[in-house]
Amino acid sequence: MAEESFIKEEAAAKISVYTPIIYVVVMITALVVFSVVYRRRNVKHLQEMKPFFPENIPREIYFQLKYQEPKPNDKVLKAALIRRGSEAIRRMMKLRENQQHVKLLYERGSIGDELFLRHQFASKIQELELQELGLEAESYKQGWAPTFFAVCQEVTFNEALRRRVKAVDERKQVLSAEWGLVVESAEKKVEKKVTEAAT
Amino acid sequence: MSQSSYVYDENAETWPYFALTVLLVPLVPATVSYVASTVSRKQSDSDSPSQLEFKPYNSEALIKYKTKKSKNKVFNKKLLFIVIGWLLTAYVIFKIKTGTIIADPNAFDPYEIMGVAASATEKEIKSKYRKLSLVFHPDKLAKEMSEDDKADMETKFVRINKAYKALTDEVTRANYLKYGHPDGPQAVSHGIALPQILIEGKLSPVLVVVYVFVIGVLLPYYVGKWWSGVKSYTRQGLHVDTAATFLETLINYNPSVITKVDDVLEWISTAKEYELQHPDLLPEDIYSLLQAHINREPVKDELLKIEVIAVAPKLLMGLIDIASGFRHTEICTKAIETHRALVQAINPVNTTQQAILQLPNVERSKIDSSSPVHTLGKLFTLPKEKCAQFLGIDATSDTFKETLAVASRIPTLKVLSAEFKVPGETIIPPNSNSHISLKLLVKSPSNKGECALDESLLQDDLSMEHLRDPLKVMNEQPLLRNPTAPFFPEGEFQYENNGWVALLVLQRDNKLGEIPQKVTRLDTSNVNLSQEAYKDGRDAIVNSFKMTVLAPTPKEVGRYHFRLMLRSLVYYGVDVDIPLVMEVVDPPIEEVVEDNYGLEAPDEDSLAGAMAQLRGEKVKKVFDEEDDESDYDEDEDFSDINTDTEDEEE
Repeated sequence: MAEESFIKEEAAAKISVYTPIIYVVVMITALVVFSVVYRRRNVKHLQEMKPFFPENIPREIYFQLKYQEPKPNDKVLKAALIRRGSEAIRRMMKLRENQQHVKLLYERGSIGDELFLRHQFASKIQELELQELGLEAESYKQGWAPTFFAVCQEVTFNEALRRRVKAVDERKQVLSAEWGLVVESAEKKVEKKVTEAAT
Repeated sequence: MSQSSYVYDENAETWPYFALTVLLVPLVPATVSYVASTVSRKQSDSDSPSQLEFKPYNSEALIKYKTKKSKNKVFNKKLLFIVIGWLLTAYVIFKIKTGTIIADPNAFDPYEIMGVAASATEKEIKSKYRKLSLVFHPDKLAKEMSEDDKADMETKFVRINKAYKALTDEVTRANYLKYGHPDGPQAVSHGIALPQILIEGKLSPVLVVVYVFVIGVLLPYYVGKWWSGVKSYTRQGLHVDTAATFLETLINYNPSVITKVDDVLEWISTAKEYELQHPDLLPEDIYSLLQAHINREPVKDELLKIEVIAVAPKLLMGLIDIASGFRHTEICTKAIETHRALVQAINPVNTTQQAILQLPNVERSKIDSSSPVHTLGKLFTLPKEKCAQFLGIDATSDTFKETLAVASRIPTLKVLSAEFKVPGETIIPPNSNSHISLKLLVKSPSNKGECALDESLLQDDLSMEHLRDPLKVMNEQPLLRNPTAPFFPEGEFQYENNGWVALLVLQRDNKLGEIPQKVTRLDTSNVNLSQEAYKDGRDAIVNSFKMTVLAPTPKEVGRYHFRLMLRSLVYYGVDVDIPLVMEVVDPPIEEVVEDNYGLEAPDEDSLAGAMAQLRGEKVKKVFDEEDDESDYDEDEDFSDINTDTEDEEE
């Protein structure tokens, strides 16, 4: 025991002033490097997240038209902007509508953390898109933004209705393929009854 | 302060105990879990449905898959670990047994020295001491004893004296109790259960490196691996990436397009589980394998197909879980349909005779598809010859008998009563916790007509125990037997994904009102009843199914319309749809004593209000926006447009 403490004392005498400084410097650099790398990886990870929605085509069209040479008519640009706005509102509504479901699933543990984060990101991105749209609309005409959004919403509803009306034929085809036999035989029966009644 | 020093375990006295502990801590739980899993597997094996004579086209591959699975189950890494672990344990125990244990010379136990029981009274101790001193007292020793023996006897006598004092004398006793020795504090020694060479010798750097490696590298690595593993699977056991694709599908769901079984198959074929299990297969390959299975088409690698099929139920249950989070009825029902299409290997498209096609020995190309026989019940009304002709099987053959036997054992549900219930109430008061109570008669499709049941069977047990836990009746029923599904690989998922799924749908918007629940506990012994016994109804068993409704009943009085769908996960033609009405009625007003102070009814959201509500008194409603967002809200409905354009804000 005594021998040991003697060695310790000797070693303590030899330690230079730089030792603690070097220690602190090494520690701090290690921590800084770690935090930088960690943050970068985080940001990269967030950038790599896949968006929920497919490519926003109306938005692309609008930008293409806007930076086209020669510049198209203002009316064309406004129409394209309304299309872009209607798509933005559709997405916003989808996200709003799904928000509580996603939250519920997250609380139930049915989806992972990343997915929940992605959903929140998507909402943020759509909010930014709406802000940008407001500014863009104002740039065409002062005070247009409120009417612009109202028009966009009309377009969205109209489109939704149209989609449904247009889908009727397709639905008929799908259903008759699924239930082919029933539809055919039922139709035949009805036909037979009709002809019987007629004669 | 007593002086302390380290004692190393040079003679290997203690380290075997240390090693034994280290070995047994993981070994015992591992062994228990291994044995439990083996036993439960044995039980479930013996529980599998009677072996059919019918051999499907893929029977060889099915058997290969099963043996491969069970081999994996029995001979795996766990078994290796257990065997090696127990061998090591045996070695260590052998070491301990053969090794000599040198008792600590300083150890002092007065009772042992005196040779009395720890419970001995003072009197007994004294008499024992007298007896001992007769033997050991230096004056009483025999003369012819050698000097060495005498010295030995003397030390013994000193010890006996000390022990006697420790038990009788006040001071010595206090010393003994405090320090464990009648002389007062002894030198404290700290033992290290490792030989000195490891710590102070040449091996010490090795030990340090091992320590740093274990604590600094291995531990974080395994904890990190475990954590990322936990994070990459959802609570339902679905891979998070699969959950993500399902969620994306649901978010981008177009309500104007009809979901088909093929679509569901396409969704599950993109699952991450397949990518991990078969990295060389593309989603298209998986999809074509799934399609080949439901079309009963042989493929080149049957075993691969079966491996792919075996994963599908889990994915479908995950899809149902996520779709139910979206309250999406259509996708849920389609996923259930896909499930049974895979279990029975039937392509449900373009036919209405799936219930017939699910029977063994029946082939799609051979049955008479123009005949109007769609259900099993109808099949049993046909005379024998006609039935055989319809099925395309020889009426005199054993296969025909087998087919009908399987058909008659398919449990079919007959709903006797279905209602919403609030425990302890005859009505449904607003804002209460309700459940759906279903009385079911499980019957064979061959049994016809009404079953004369005793009225008492339809009544719920109203004892206190059942009021407290309404689900008790259901949980006491036996688990459903395994389904007859000759084309599907047998496995654990069959025991889990059996029976029916109960979906509660709001009639108002056709969305799910509750999380779907499985019906897995039903007594199916009724299927063995003959027609006479069935009609008589004396031996018939009535089953209960209770579905807890998590959402409280609506606040407003009125009639609320629901649909309860029981969709079978395994059989065709045994689904039940029940319309249900929840009639919310205000509880009868009891005579409330008029309070003389003219106090107003307390606010709903105040403490007094909460108390009053608990007592069933009236409270003043506080309207805030959140309250209006109840599940049964009437006013959000405007045209069918609302599914993707619900919100009118912005």
